[in-house]
Amino acid sequence: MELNQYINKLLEKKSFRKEYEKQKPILDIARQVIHLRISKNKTQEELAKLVKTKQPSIARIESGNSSPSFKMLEKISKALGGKLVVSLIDCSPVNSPTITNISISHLNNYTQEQQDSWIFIHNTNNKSIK
Amino acid sequence: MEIRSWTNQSGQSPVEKFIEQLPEKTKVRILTFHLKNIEQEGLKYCKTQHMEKLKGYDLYEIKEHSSNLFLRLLLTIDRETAWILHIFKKEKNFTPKKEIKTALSRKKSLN
Repeated sequence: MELNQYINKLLEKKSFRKEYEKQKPILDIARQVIHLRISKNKTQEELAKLVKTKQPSIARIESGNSSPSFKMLEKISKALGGKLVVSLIDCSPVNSPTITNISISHLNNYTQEQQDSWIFIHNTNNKSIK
Repeated sequence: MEIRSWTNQSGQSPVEKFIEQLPEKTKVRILTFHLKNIEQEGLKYCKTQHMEKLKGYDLYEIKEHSSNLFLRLLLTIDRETAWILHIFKKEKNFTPKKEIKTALSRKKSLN
């Protein structure tokens, strides 16, 4: 079976869907760090050097098993020429879809219209977000 | 890249059957993380600690450790399709020949 078909079939099962929703934010962040690092042709060691940490810290973030801090994500996105985007969307039923999203992105991945339709929280004064 | 699991002559997938009995956490990680990453990055996923080429074979290995399980998936890339050939619990520090043989015989049947 093709992967997406298989995932969709499993998502019909409550226990799988619950676990998927639980892990999705951290796995998405790991995926985005991997994608941005690879697309910029950097090794984990090179990225670690750029953000003044050790390679195992980058490996841990990319494992999808640990939650990186905002400060670290901000450093990583800056080092890779990306941008940390945090969007908080109203979860009440009248304002669906229900999404809380944190992502590291290339700015040129999004149209101006997409950017305008989101709520962005940016760190613009080089202070860490707590 | 398209991701497909190997199926036998009766259309059954031993890989999917194995995945079905895994804890939900591990299922989510394999399907929505590792395999989705291969779908997106292709062979560039080897630039992470999660995937590597098996030396001497036209096979790639995905490493997964969660829920106290050490798992290995063996796959091959045929043009724009990644075929997941085999999945097994890792019990030794190396990839056993028996598991490689299983993957290779399934790979052969793709042709």
